[in-house]
Amino acid sequence: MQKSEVLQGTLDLMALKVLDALGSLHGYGIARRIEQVSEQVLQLNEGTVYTSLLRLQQRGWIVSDWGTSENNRKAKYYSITKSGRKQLACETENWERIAGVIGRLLRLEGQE
Amino acid sequence: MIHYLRALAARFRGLFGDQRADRELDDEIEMHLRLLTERYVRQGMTKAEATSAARRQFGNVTLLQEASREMRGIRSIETIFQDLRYGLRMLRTHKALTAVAVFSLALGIGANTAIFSLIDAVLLKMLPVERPEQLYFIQNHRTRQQEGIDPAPPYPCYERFLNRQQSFSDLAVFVNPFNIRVTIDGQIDEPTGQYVSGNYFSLLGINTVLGRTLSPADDAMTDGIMAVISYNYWIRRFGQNPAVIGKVVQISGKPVTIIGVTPPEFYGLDPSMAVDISLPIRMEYAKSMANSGAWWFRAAGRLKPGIEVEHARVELDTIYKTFIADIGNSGALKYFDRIELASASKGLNTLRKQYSRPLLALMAIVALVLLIACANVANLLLARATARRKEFAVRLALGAGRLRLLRQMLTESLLLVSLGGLLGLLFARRGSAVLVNLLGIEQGKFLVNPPLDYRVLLFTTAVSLLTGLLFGLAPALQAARIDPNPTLKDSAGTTRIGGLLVGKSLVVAQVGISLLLLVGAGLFLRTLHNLKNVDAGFQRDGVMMMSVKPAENVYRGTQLSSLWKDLLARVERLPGVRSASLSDRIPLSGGSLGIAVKVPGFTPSSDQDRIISLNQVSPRYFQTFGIALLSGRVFADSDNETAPKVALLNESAARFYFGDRNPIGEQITIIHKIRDYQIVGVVKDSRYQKLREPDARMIYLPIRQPLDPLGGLALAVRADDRPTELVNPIRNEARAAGSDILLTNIATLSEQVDRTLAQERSIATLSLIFGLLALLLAAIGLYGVMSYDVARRTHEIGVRMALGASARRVVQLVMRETLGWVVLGVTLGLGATLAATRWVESLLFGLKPRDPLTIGLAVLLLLAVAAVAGYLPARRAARVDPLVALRRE
Repeated sequence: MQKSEVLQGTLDLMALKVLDALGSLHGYGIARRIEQVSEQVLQLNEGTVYTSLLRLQQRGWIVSDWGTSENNRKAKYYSITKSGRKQLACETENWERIAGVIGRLLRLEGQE
Repeated sequence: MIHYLRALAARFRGLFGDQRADRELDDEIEMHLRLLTERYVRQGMTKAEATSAARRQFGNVTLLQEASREMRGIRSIETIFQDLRYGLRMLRTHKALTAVAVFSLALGIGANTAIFSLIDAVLLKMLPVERPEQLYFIQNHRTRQQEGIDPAPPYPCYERFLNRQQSFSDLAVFVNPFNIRVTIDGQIDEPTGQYVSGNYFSLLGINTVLGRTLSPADDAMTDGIMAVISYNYWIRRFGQNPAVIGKVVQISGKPVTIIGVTPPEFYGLDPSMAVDISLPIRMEYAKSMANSGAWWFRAAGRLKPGIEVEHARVELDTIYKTFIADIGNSGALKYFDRIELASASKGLNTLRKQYSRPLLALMAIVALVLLIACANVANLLLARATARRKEFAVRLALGAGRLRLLRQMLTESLLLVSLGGLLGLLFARRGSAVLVNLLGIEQGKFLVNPPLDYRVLLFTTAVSLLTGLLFGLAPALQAARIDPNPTLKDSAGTTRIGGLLVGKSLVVAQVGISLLLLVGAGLFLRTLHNLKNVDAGFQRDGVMMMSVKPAENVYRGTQLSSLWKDLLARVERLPGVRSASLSDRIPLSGGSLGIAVKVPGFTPSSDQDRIISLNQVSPRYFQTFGIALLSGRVFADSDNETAPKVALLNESAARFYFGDRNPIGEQITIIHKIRDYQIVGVVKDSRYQKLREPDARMIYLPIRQPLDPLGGLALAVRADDRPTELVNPIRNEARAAGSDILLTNIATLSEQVDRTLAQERSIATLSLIFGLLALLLAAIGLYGVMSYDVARRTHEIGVRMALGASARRVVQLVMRETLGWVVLGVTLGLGATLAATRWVESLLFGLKPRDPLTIGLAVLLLLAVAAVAGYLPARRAARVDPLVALRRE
């Protein structure tokens, strides 16, 4: 399977969603969940997650803090903020609307 | 909140290259790779295979590190430059808007800065001496308050201060400055001089730029008389020649050596009376210094650090009271009851008292104009921001943060305001010089500091920033609040009913403020007109005047009076001279000499009733000045030294002392000379003080029967046609009559009248300029907002026209809305005007502050201009093509 090119913006959105649904995670954990949810359809350079996380931090949608990982090592954990949640809700609504429109469009063609 | 702060801190660190963040990322990457490797190992790979698989899965580490560094650090600085470049590009694209905005801002900021630098010099500046806050004037309090500082106790008491007091580290005495006649290389000059004690300069902490200052050793004048000159005088009179040190000049017939030049910022203790030359006090006042009954000197002292002012005052007061008891002059306590200490740090600023009202009024006016300019620029920017909606929506959709957008808008505003501020500084430089001229302050005497004083720069920067925030915030916030989706869809659905509310309220405010300023201008203009046309009791055209002062010790007694006779005769014989006169005082000269008189049949109800102003005049004085004779006769040549003593009264005096009785033939006694004069005539009142003030009682005495010998007189000449052509002939005659006669203050009477009106004229001019400026700005603002409104409502207008509305109907519609807002503005402005004009009542003459004619005219002017400003966009609305308009949906 080709590693499909995913828009940076979409990766940001996915990372945000993961943090919203699953609470605090470190970078590796987020990457794993994205892989899981996408059922390995989306394969990307995992390092790009960190670029997304930095961008999300700069926008104030997530914050980072230090904590201990599963094997007692120090790791950086990320969690979503209130404005992050707002942003997520906004983006979700957008996506659903677009998806709806495209869906209708595709069904339309079928009716011809 | 803490998270936010931390993010901010991280951003700040990122500005300068953040090693900590780099290391943290490295740790994260390292952990991520390790976990990936472990996973692959669990899945069955070898360690080596797992490692490379993990690496492949992860992607390029170095690229990630660099990208992160870029995102974190340089980004912030880079974005600032991006913002600036973008802002500059925006400004260059909309050149017209930029020009209008920058120019309005420059005018507003420049005007504020110019007035502030004046206020700074007049009201706020400390004396350019060492630690002025420690300096205090020692005043003997009189029960009647006076301008300037009160005198100090007599010198013998001051000597007791020197010997006994402990609170001051040093004390010095001085005399109020006045014009001193100095002969330099045979030329006569009259600089402002001040007599001071030897430690005056060391008390103030003034050093010299050349030579040395006076010292206590110079007090005794054993090596001759030493003097110190000011920097200004050095430039004016000595051409900045260093050879001035050691130069000998003549003062009062004695040789005086110049030993030093003080720095340029030092002008004495009062900036409005810049001292040119300082001399030892013993030179002229040796007798007064021994006199226990002379309250002639002023004194100042430097308080020791740590001593309370009240403690020092009580100490001096005790010494003073003891002194009075010792000399047995308890009567003095009636007038000089105690010692007061007044802070010297702002200097004896008589200028301050005179000009603080108008200057502060000016500041208020100018601040209002700046507000209007800001409102205008804000409106312009708002309009443009709304036009740029789509641009912002696209940027937001592409991922720009709202904060970034806000920052962008503010950057643009700050760019505008910086350009405006810089231009404004240039205006201010020119402006304050013009202002000083307009406010009628003599250029030489009053030193205005150049606007690049740090305090003024600080003020300009603060005002600019505030202005920028004021007008930049509104459009910036509006931009940041844009919802990208509907905006991108370009629907007209976002039009609010009565949209542009902010813009329109700004216009209302502008109109209101303009009305206020226009009414002010009208009031001041009419005041000026009234003053110019007031009947001052004399004819002002065609009269030339000058002050004549013979050298003091050369002419005395009979020599002096024959000099005057000779001079007057010579001048009257000149061709082109209709009449000439010599007098003590001339109309509108200010200054008053009051004497006490006794009139038979008149009982004074207070001491004031006895006081009458005196003028000693030659016979043709009334003819020369055109002062009408009401009854009796004027003086004649026969009223000389041996003839019976005669006097003339003016109308007010005659009425006051004699009521309905005929004063002619009555006697009047001058109390301090115990001399009787017979009244031979009554003349019309004329203004001697200011045009505003009602006429005082006046008595005229013939110049050949003076009360005291006359040192200097005013010569007035009525010419057949051009008075200025007589100046040189008169000079020649004066030189022929006597060689060392100083002629100064040469001016025509009408020039003198104008000079007294200088303050009123300047206020009227300035308020007119600012009023019109405000009106112009308001009109531009109105035009801008209404144009924009029409543009926005093109669709609606198209619909109306399609439904059958005529062009005229559309114009009416738009104009009705425009005038609605204007009327609202006028109403609010009227309210403000009625409330505020109360404060300028003292500046007006001949009309009340709520003068209906003035207010009515201002309102009409405003409405007319607003109608024109509103008509143009209305006409554009009428020309809308309904088809094009409807198609835009």
